[in-house]
Parts: sequence; C-alpha cells; structure tokens
Amino acid sequence: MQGPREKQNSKKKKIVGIPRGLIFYHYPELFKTFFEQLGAKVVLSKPSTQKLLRNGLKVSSDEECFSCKVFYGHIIDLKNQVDFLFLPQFHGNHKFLVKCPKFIGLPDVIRAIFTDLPEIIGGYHSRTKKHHHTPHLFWLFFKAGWKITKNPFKILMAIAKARKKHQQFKQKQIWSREKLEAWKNKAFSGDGPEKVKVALLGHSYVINDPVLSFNTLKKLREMDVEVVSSEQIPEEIINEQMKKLHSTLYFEEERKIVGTALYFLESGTIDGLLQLIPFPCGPSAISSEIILHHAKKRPEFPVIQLVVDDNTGEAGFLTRLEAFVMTMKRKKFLKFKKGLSTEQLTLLASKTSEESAVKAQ
Amino acid sequence: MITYPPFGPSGYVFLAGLKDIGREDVLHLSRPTKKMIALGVAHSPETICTPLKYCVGALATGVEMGATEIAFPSGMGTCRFSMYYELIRLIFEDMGYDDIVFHTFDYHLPIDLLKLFKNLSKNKSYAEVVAALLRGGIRNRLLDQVDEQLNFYRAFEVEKGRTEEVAEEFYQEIINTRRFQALSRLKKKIPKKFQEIEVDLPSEIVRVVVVGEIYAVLEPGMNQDLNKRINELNVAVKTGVTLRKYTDIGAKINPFIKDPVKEGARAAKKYLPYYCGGDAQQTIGDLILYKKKGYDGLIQLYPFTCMPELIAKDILPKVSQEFDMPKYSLVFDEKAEGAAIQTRLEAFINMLKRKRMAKSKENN
Repeated sequence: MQGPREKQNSKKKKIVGIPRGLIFYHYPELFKTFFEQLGAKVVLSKPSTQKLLRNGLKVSSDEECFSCKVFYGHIIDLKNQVDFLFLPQFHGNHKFLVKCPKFIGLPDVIRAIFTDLPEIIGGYHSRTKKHHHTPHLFWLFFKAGWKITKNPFKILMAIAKARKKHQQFKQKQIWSREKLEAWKNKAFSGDGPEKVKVALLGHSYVINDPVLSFNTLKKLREMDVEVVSSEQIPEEIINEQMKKLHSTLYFEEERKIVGTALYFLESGTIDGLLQLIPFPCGPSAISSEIILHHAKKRPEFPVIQLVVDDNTGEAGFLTRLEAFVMTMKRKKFLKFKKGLSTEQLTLLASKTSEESAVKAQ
Repeated sequence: MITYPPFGPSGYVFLAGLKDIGREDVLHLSRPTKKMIALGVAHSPETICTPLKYCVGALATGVEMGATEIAFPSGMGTCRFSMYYELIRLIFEDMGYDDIVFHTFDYHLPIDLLKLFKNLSKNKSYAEVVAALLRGGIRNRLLDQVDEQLNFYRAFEVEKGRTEEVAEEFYQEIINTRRFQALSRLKKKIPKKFQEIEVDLPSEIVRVVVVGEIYAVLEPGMNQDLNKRINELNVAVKTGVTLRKYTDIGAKINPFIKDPVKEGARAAKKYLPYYCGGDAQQTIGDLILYKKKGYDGLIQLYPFTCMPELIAKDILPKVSQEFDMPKYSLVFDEKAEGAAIQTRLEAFINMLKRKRMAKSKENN
C-alpha cells in the first residue's frame, strides 16, 4: 500500500507554459521563478524560428503587429504540452507610464481565436486605475499561485524569491550612470582603427528575439561593433532627456528608446543609432518621428531605422545593416589613417594589398 | 485667429463654444479636402494612424489661411491619440511655422478644459465659462439627435436632398441658440420637423449600426460619406460612437442618463473585459446591444494600424457568429476612395436585405 509521502511523489507535477514573447522579455526571471518555487514545472516555448512564425501567420490577421504574429506561433508551440498557459494582462505598474495596448488585449484575442486552449492563468493589472495598487498585484499573484498549491505561505515565499531574482536580473542588465558615461567616452582601440560604437534601439521583445530582430545583436558583435541597447540605460538619464519633449511620453518602452537616442545625440560621442521597428508598431511610429526630428539637427550623425515584418527578406536586411556598419567603419579607418606616419602608412598599404591578393586567390 | 481640427458635424460644438466665450475670430474647417490630406500625408510619419495625417493637413491649411492659434488636446492615455500634440508641434517646427501659439489641455480631465476655456475667453468669468461648457454638452446631444434623424429619413426621402437641407438649418440654429430654455425647446422641435418630410417607407426597414474609431465614424471626409452612401441604398443608419463622452459633462453628473460607453463595456465583458484604448470595447458591446434592439448588421470603421480597433476586429468574428449578427470591418487610410468602398458596401447591404426578406417570408 502506498504511504502518504509516496503518493505525493507519484502525483504528477503541474505544467505551466510561458510563451517566449512580449511580457516574458520584460520579466524573464520573475514568472519562471514564481511557478517553479510553487512546485510546478515551467515550460518555455522554443526560441523563435521561421517555422514558428509560419504557424503563427496561419491564424493571425494581415494587419497584426509582427511581434504578435510571432507570439501566436509560441502559443501554438505550447498549447498541447501544458496544463496551464500563463497569459497576464499587465498594462503597467506606474501611475501613467503604460505598455502598448496589445499587452492588455492580446490574451482576449487568443481566447477568441483558439478553441483548444488549456486553462489560462491570467490577471489584469493597470496602476493607472485608481484601485490597482500593490495589494492588487499581490492578490493577482495569489490567485495565480492558488491554481498550483493551496499553501499560502509557499505562495508568499515564492513571490519574495521571484522578486529577488528579478532585482538581480535588472541590476545585471541596467548599467550605472558611471559605467555608461565611461563607455560613451571611451575609445575602443585595437591594433587598428577604433572600434565602432552603436546604440541599438528597440523593444526588448524585438531586440532579444532571433526572428524579430534578424539576430541583429549577434551580427553587430560579429562585425566587431561595440553595442549598447536601449534596455541598459539607467532611468535617471531617460527622465532627464524626457524634459526636451513638449508633453509626456507615456509609453514605457518608447521612453527608453527616445531617451537613449536623445542622450547619445546630445553628446555625439558614439558613431551611430540603429532603431528596429516591427511593422506596424503603433508607439514606434511616434518614437521614430521624434528621433528623426532631433537627429535632423545633427546631420553628420548616422541614424538608421529598419522596419521589419514577415515579408522582410533576410538578405536585404543584412545588406542594409552591413552598409550602415561599413559607413561608420570607413570613418574610423580614415581617422586612423590620418594619425599614422608615412612609414606606417606604406606598411599598412602593403599589408592590405597582400590580404586582398590572398582573398582573390 | 484660432483654429482646431475638423470633426464632422460634431465639430460645431467647438465653434459654438468658442463663440459663447466671446471669440469671434474662429476659423472653422468644415471638411478635410484632398489637398489638405495630401499636405498632411507629406509631412506625417508613414505608419501613424490616419487621423493625425488629416489633422496635420487641416491645421497647416488653417495656418496658411491666417490662423495664429491652435487648440489641440493632449494628455496621457492608452492609445496614441494623446501623443498627437507632441507630433504636431514637431511637424509644425519642421514645416517652418514658428510663431503659432498652441493651446493644450488634458482631455481626460474636465477641469483642464475649463482652464483652457478661461484662458481663451475675453474677460469672461468662471461662471460664464462653466455655462458655456454645459451648453456645449447640450448642443452635442442636439447635434447627435439631428444626425440620428438625418440618417433615418435620408434613406427613405421622396425629394432628394430635402433631409440634408433640414439638417443644415438645424445645425445653424443649434450653433446660434444660447439660452438654455431655447435649447430645450429645440429638443422637441427637431423630431417634429423631420417627421414632416415626405418619405416612402418600404415594407421591411433594414437598419445598420456603424461603430469603430471615433474619428473614422464621425468625420465624413475620412469615411467617404459612408452614412450617405448607405442611406442611398435605402437602409437606415445609426452611429454608435459619439463625441458626447468628452463634451457632455452634464450627462456624467446626471445618474439618470445612460452612458453608452459604460453600457457597451458591460455588454462586452465576456469577450473584452478590460479597457484597451479607444472604442474597442464599445465595438464589441454594441454588436450585442444592437442585435437585441433588432438591427440587421454592424459595420466597423477603423484607420489603418489603429491598435485598439485591431484587437476588437480579431475578436468580432466569434461574437458575430455567436449572436448571429452580420458584421463588416472597413479599414481606412489616406488613399481611401469612395468608389472602392462602394462595391464592398453594396455587397454587404444586399446580403443584409436578402437575409431580411428571407426571414420575413419565413414569418408569413
């Protein structure tokens, strides 16, 4: 006969699926830790692939935002392998700074489009509502945790541990003001020309997604470019730059994007700005216009805004990215040449001609 | 001279309100022309929602016609509309209009609107400004009433153009009436005058409700006179969205007047329980409410890339199937042509008529 402890071990763990898109990239450690601490098994959807995107395109409408089309693919990937699907409707935890309305509405669309979903763990929180303060957030975590365990202390401990992990993640990701200033002013020299420094602007769920960003971060690093993303800029710098606008920019991520762009445009000590825009992102239409307007005042500063959607060809995208990096590299090379003596120049010329001869063979 | 963006017949509320507080130098742009739209498109970002392109074009034309002040709302909302003010400031700087005075207010807060009107007025007291605002709300109710009658009687009129003449007369009367008593007398006068129009009612009256994004529904220059086109097919129309949710402060305080926005949100609770901007909840809620009132179909209008309406559009097929109410979503962008939507509109309306005929044959 099975004793009580053996019965517990033989009971199956509840499986919670978290789709790897949208809000996951804002809180990559928080939700995963929370459910794992409660004793559930957490399954993340696979990282985005072209096949995932094609599955998503079968169910989405044409005008849908590119990030949402990929998100549907993640739902399709997860829905048959899990007991619960985690789809929070989180609008924002600030009095007026909010996320895109898709963050509220997309789970409702998913409930309407798909007919065979597992049970959804959700919850709606928007600090812009008068009665949605921190207790409401706690209540939502409780409701979510209650589906996994009936032990309230376990839920409280899980919330605490999840918060701690999230704070650690944020500390690692966001640079301090000093670190940023040092990076901004530093000249990364090697044995040749200085390295190119670029700020990559975009939503976190675009920059970190291999399909949505066409692996831009990886490619830039492969091209030996020093990159900082708009996710890493500290809040105080963003808030300072926001004073340049005529009214409040209330989209959270657009704030980071515009703040980063204005910060680097002001100092002019990096080599270029690259903004990734999924088509047809609503808030990005605003941020791209504000950045362009301010960038026009500094015409010598390269700014490129690449629009990506499911019809963008990878070859075309890569060409534009390479052209952008080459423009900046050429500037660095000319600067480097200027600083060389005649002897060094002749050495360099013979070295490069040797290299091109080897390549031609 | 002060100007503001065009907003269809509801825009008369702004004209009358400014006149009430003593401003005679008002430039009222009644309808976005093709030239205005082209100007707006040339200077606006590509994927921004279409109402901004119309507003930029119209306001720039207003400035060319001599306006020196512009009133435009801003604030902090859920959809992009509250950022229009920032974009208009930047675009006007780019276009070289450096000496325009901008007046802005947070359109979610009636207090801000009060402060704006006090600033714009020429030496009026707070009491007079409050009276002007209340009057604005009542005028909006009357304008909506005129539109409701217009969109019904125009479908069945015998003498073409008569209903629009009557409506135009009423618009002017509503703008120029100031006393509260006279305004409340108008409320009874309007349906009586419309009932005098000679009509040829068919045996089965097909009725359609038009919902969606507020600018696409209320501005005929954007939806290519959709209401008129539907009326010409002998179908009655009702617009489900109104500007009253921002102007009618009196109705907000009065607990006996039903708030169509809250009603729509309550009806849509099962499908779209939380506010996600714009009029998305109302789109879904109105399908359910108007089906109960016996309407035959719903048309959703939205500008290209409108985020809340896309959410509603994706949920609409399921709701339409469950409640057996035909629906059609029409997207508008700056290249929208009347001829293009006429074909699709006729197809949808003919389907509704056939369905109605089949149902009445069944009942007989």
